[in-house]
Amino acid sequence: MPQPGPSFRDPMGRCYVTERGAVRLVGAGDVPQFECFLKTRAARDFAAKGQLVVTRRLDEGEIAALAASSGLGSALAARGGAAVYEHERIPFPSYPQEWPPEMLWEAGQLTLELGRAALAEGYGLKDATPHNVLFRGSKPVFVDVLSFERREAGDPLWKPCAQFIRSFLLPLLANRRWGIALADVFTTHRDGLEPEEVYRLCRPWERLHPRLLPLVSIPTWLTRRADPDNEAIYQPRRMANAEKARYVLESVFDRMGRALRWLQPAAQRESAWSGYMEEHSYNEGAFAAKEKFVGEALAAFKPGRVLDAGANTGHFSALAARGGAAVVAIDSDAACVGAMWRRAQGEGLNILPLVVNLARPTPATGWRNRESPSFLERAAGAFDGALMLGLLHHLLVTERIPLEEIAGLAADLTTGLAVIEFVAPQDPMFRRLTRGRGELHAALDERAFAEACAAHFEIIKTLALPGTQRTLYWLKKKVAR
Amino acid sequence: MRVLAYIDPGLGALIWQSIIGVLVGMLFYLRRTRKWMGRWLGRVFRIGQKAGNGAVAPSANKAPPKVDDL
Repeated sequence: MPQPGPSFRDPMGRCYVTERGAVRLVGAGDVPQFECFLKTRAARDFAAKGQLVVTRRLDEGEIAALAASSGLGSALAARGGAAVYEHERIPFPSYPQEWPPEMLWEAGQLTLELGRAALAEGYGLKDATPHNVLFRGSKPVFVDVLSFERREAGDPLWKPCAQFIRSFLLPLLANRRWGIALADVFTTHRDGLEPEEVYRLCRPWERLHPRLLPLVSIPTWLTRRADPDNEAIYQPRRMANAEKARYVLESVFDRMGRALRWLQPAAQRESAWSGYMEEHSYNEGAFAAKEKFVGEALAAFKPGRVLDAGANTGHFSALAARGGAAVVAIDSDAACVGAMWRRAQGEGLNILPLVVNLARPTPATGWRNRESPSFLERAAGAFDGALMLGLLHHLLVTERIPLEEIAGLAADLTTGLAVIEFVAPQDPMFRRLTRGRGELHAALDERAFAEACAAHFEIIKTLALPGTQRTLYWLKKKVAR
Repeated sequence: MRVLAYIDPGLGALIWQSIIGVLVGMLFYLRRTRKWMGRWLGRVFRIGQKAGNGAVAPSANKAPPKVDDL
């Protein structure tokens, strides 16, 4: 799997991602405070709960072995006095542009909890961005351990407060109020939305909403009136009374926490596809047969890492997860993915739900397009099982993707098992999507589908679902010669 | 101490945080005074009750404890 480029914005050190995990170089001068933080009770407690990435310092022998085995030889050789740490590997990194609002909200919650806990230990959180958080299954893990620095006792300001507002609160607000997708925000804005951008979206009376005043309107008005060249604004403030400074700082976390609670996504969000499991076109027998077939394929092949593409609210993802697989479940409908995340959280299932449209998958973003690799780059070789159920007709009709291309992509997404549902043009859902363009798919039949699959897969078993125009294919990827 | 916060602190948001910080700082003293008053009154009231039960009343001239001692 191609790895993201180094994280380089923090002057205290750099982070590289390898096959084994992440490697962090910390400048010699910053090692004592970094190690002190790792020994704090807050760091140990959050790491024990799996909410803070586990970090271990490497000795010279391990560094030499790492230099030889990874592509980091030159970076490690030129490290000077920097200490080298290794973080545990978080499987399948995901980015805020792929999260439903529920996951961004959860990442914000963890950021505030950690900021508060660090404050009690005399540390401050020096940045507050969702890029500091990855998800292990449905659970957030704070991975940027270098974000913590010892704080001045009399400092009453939380400098990343504006960043927290930009990258957590305002995207959640824009999503809830104007339906702006998080993918639209974070694909093009690394740091979220500026208050001025949101201010322009607000109607005049909305700008006076008590919740929007401190987050959007007042910062916008103050920015307009302030002298941008006045350096004094940015000078550190120090209070003589450290207890008072901490009280003021705690009140910042309280206010951010209240704003975040207000923006908590509603439990029941509706979309065109959120009710699919209740309204689908299968009869009871056909759906039971589908469940049995997929369950058999999973039980026989026992994939450890499954991609469920077009997962809807995660019915078959849950089936795979209950069988012991780590599942990445994708769907283009954020409401469905949000519901899936709630389900995974509630049932303790190892499912990472992501908002990804397989026809327009997440592109690579960031500096030189290397900070966040594309979805397909991350997916290549990452799964030994792929489910594509009830998806084929969307790709064929809505996205106009040729059958051979779809079979080729399915082969790229798995190293072993694939279960694909063939949907014939006579199927009512297929016909609904064609909107009078049925002739475009006149040549599509099961034989054409089987031929397209045969280029990449062995067909192990098929099952025509009773009373439907659908057939399930259990496929095994051919070994490349 | 080196300060390595490298993120954009915003402009309007930073000013707003400073203004709110001043107000919350005043609240800090108000709360502390209220707490101190509550404790002091509580102590006076308790001792007064004891005195009413036959205990020795405190000297009326005794100075209240300093805020920092509480």
